Amino acid sequence: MAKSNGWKEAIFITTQHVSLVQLAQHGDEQAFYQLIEQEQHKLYRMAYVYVQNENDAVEVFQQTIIRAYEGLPQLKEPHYFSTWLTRIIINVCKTYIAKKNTVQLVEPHTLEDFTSTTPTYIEEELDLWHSLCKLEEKYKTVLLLRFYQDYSVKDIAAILQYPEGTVKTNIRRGLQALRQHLKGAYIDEWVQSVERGH
Amino acid sequence: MNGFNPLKEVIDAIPIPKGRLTEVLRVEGMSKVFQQKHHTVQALKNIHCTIYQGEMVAIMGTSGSGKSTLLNMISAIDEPTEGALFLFGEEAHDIYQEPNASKFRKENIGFIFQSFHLLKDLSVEDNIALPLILNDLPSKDIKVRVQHMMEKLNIAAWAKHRPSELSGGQKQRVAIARAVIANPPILLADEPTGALDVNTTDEILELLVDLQKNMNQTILLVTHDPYVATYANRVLFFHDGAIVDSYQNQQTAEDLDCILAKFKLITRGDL
Repeated sequence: MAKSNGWKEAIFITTQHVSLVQLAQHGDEQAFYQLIEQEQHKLYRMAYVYVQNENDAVEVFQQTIIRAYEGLPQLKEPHYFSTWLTRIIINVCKTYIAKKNTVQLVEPHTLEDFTSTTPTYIEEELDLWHSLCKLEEKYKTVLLLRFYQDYSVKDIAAILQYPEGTVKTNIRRGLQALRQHLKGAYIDEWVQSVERGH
Repeated sequence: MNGFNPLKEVIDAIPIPKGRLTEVLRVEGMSKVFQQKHHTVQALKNIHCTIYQGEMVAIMGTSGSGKSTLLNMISAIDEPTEGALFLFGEEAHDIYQEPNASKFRKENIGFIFQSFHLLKDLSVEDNIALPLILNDLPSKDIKVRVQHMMEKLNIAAWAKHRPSELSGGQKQRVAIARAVIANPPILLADEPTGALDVNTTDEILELLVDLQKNMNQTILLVTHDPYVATYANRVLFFHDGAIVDSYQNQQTAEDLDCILAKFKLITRGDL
């Protein structure tokens, strides 16, 4: 598609998305699964960052989908489907971790599991992964939303129901914490460039 | 923002577990009405549910709540009055007439029952080999797969024995081996521990969990026992032909109390 048609495509995608949400809200399961299919890999990976192993991430993913399906009729603005879904998965992750912690302390990170399934992983990325896992949950959440899901500060504030100022502060502190874990080197260039943007 | 985003790269490198985010089975608006001479019985009322790959879902309800009727619909034994069944997102058309029904069952569903249903005149290994024989597999392949399955389920020592020489737990192991040997997308377990003592019940349930976790086996477990339901990921409560509640197990000690409480509420203490 030619570049000048990009905006038309964008509008088409948006309206298509909204009508899918509306269909799903009226009980069209096919539409619901089409919506989920578009988001499922991102949702699963978000969950994985929180729980850090496959079985728990699958569980969180499935709980999220079920909760979304049950709660869909209550969603007032179809435009907000994606942000609404993101809010659900964050809440499910938090509850899931809290419940798990009441029985057993989760090991900080099952690094072996991760490396064994991804042999191509390079060392520096592993460092970044490790640091990301160790971040405090509030920093982890904003960094995921800002730099993985590409939400704006305004959207993140709406999802988490925090003031925008708090979101900005947490993003900044999250990035600082990442840099500290990584002791400068590798992602410095990236962090500096995104810090300048904030 | 410029293109370089190491955070995104790191997260996008998380492998997607094969198939485990996929819906295996979906029941949409399913109802069943039995017409009798002077009255009609609505055994299922507009059932909606989705089962994901690698999930163990327990269906709980008293007898007459509709759980067996639903199983019959899912396994193409009986035709719903209304509604549809989807397998991997595709509607399963025309599965309620023979020969389609048998083909559908053979390809998609493994069964285990309370009373095992093993063939008494066949040895353990022949019982397990049955689904593969029905699928016309070469006998050499059958032998290898049966042997592997028997070792996995710890029944290899009983290969040449008849079912009558085995204990209840061993019989159920044989039945499970037979149910999953052809890799069916769905394992339907109808009161699989109903005839077993407490210790053997745990052993069989742990075996099912092991199949689910390590072989990504999707399991639909029908039970009236809240303890059995704690082994599932999710519990659907049936009452009077409808799904009236659900519970997501948290794998904590509270699960049993929660399931029991919900079940009591639904059946009004009429356990």
